[in-house]
Amino acid sequence: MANNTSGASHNFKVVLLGEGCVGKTSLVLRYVEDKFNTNHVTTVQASFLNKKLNIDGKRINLAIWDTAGQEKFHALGPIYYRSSNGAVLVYDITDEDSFQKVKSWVKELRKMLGADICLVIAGNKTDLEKNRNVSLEEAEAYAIKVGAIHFQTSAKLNKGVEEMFLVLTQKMLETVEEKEAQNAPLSRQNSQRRNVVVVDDDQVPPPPTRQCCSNS
Amino acid sequence: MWQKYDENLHNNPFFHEIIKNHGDLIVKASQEEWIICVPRIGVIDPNEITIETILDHILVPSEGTTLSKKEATIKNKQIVTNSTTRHILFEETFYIEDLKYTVFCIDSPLFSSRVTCPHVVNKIETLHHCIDFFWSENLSHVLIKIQRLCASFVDQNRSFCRENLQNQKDLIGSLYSQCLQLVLRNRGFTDCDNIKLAVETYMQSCLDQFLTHAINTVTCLHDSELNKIIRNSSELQLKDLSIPPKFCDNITNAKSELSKINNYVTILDKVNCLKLTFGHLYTKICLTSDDVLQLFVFLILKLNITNWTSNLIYLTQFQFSSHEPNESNFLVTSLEAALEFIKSEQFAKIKPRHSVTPLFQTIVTGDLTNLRKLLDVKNSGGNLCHPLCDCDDCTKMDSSYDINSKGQTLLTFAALLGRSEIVEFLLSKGAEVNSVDYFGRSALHYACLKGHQDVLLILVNCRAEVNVRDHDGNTPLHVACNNGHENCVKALFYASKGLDIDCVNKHGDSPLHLAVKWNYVGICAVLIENNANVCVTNRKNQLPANLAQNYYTERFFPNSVPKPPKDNNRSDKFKKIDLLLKAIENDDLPLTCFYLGFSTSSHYDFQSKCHPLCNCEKCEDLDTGQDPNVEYISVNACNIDGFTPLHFAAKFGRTELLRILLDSGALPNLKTLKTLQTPLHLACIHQQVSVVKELVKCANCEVDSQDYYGNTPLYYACVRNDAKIVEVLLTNGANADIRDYGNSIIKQVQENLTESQDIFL
Repeated sequence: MANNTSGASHNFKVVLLGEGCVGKTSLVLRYVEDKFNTNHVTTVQASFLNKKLNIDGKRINLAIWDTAGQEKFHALGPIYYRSSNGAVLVYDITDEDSFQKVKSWVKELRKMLGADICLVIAGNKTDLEKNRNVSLEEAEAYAIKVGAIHFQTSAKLNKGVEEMFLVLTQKMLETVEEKEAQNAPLSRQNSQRRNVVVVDDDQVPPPPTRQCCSNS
Repeated sequence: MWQKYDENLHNNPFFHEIIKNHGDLIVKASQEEWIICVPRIGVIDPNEITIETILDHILVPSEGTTLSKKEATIKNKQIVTNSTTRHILFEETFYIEDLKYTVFCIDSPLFSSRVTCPHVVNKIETLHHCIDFFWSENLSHVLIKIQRLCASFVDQNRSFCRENLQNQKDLIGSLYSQCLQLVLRNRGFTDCDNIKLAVETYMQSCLDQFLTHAINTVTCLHDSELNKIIRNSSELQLKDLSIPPKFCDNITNAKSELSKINNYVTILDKVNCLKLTFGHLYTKICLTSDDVLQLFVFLILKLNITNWTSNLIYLTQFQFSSHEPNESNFLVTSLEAALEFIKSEQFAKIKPRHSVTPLFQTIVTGDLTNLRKLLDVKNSGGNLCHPLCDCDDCTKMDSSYDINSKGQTLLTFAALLGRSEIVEFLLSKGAEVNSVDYFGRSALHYACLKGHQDVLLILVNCRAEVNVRDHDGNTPLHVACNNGHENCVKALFYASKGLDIDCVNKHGDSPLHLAVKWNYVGICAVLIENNANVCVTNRKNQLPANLAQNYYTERFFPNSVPKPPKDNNRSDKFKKIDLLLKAIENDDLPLTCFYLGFSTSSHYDFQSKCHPLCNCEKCEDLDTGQDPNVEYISVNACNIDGFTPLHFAAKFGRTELLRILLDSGALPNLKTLKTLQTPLHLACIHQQVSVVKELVKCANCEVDSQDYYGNTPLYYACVRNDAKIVEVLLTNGANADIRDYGNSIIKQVQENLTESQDIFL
């Protein structure tokens, strides 16, 4: 519904990326519903959640998309993260592989979306500190190197979750406002269009030529 | 889409009052984690905004009260107080100058019995909501104008379906802006998003099949390729996709929901269908995105939807009213991801798991030498009792009796996996080329199912029967057409004589029906070239032409009526028959007679007839108590599985009805479709002595009819150990020496059964 007058309103799309079992779903459920034990959550659509924020009079609607983390679905990444404003890259501090996976996501995102997308890296499961396998210094150094912000979170203990999303939102806000300042007429429409995959008639592959009675 | 209620709280007088005059409360709320409830704009009289009402609207969640010490709890997106229940429309978290507090926007004030504005917030999720919206906004007059615009658009763009996608989009886009102008011409821009959405949705509903058809045409090739992948993977089960069985219940509901997606023409309704499908999947279970994706893939594989790509393009490319990343966007993206995954290499690697013996394992690996070795060992190692012995132990030695859990022989299994060398080898060893498995499918069926053209040619050369039908009535040609294997279709025409091209399966579909349905344009061309009959109607009374969804498949039927002669009578009839059979099962004689159009009185009272077969004038009158205006079910009508009323009467022992049916001309020897059983079989299986007596009295009743397994009624009577029935059957000339297809003979079955034994002696 139209809300005009004071304070701009923004719609931000945030994707959660990371290997399976690092706690992506728990993070978002904790943030939006303030729930942890997913077994007791009934009829909650955890893959897509909305959160409204109001930061100093600016209204922001976060659309948080959880994505499939299994390796076999890796190729589907672009379908999910296209035209997103921010990404939360989650790894499990007890699992070194999941951190490597974050690195590969960062590379891919930077390559496909450039600097348009704001990144935060979340080292989740700090409640399992004693089993830590990813060093904090290494992770923070890496985050700085790639222009992301690093957070330590625990969905279970509700630590760092809200702060992480808040900082990410502020960063996305800055990015968008900078852009708007650059080219006054709203450029969002264009950025949206850019990612639309157009299946054109001309691109339709010709029907595979099959010869009669030859082995296919 | 789904414009959920939203407003800018800074413009809300109630909230404004708190900010302006009660800053202390806000600071306190931030420290104590109180929640501020704000009634949506317009539902509270500005004069009523006092400090008391404000205190009533600040919740202290830790104590379950308001600041005014009244009880108020938050439950399930609602605020429940002693007197009222209010919906939380949305929640907004404020971060202002180091303060953080949460605000709930609610539909009406708490503790106020007076509901200022009962009008529920507009929710637009379906076409109906859109039309309601037009009426509620006093815009109903534009509906007819939009209709006219769309009608003239359809008129002016006769060749629209052959435009490329970009042009189609542009044309529809400009039509949309024309429609929108109609509405906005004399109006301000209030509630603009909903107007846009409603206009777009209504426009789509006016264009109806016109647009769907055009997009189907553009995506025809993509869809036929996708259909081929889906058809060839349709045997994948939950475990193959590693989906836990606990989701089963949810899948059933989700599947029936998603199957309706093509019943809707508007994007709004289609997305709502996706939403409901998701809702079913999420019932009582929290799913991760991985689960959702896999379940979605599974649903797509199991559904009979033939134009997924077209649906996807429609949902992603033809929405002009909104581009925000909202939930509908997410749902459509999930569909896209699932389809993309099905097309991916990762998916191609998923194979159904075969549980196999070592012998079958050699075929899985394609290891001919090993297979040869194992067969040699088998054939030489064991000595038969005597050269022609067929006792159980000896039959096991014979390689052609080796079957797996699905009843497939080595040959059939090799054909399924496309191991042409092994097929050749087995045939050279004398394997039976036409043996069928438990689904009635031969090796040729499987070669066609999987598109193994080389195997197909070998089999046909070895005189494989080309018109053999499986239990669903499908010939190899059906199977090849259904799975989109054009090479196999061509090979069948090339290599075999006497191919029955117009054979129909149990749904009444000819191969041409299937090829058209799944958009296999190439196969359609081959079938048409070979003079396939275009006038076959299936059990839904559809011609192949009626199944065509796009320009390319329609081209093959230049002379047919462009739109299906919608005739629902036939499926109605099946429904009616099911009702009739249900009535028989429930022993509801009057209702049964009503469905069949018998006047009950005449049949209840046989004595009133001169004799049972009398057609004298007086008796005739008794019979024709039918109302000529009602269409009755014929006595020999059968349901989808081939059960007639007589079958049901026999099964449930409705002797009186049975007599009525037989008197009204019911045929006693009709067989069911799958099991090939006559009413007499059923009566024996269910031990209905009186029915058996009644049936054998019929002059033309075949007592020795064999069912699908080769069993006669007598066999079942013996297995049930029912001496009375056995006696009745034997006295009526039943033959006790008929062998069933498993080669046992009734007398053998008999051996263990004592009671009926002396009857045979």
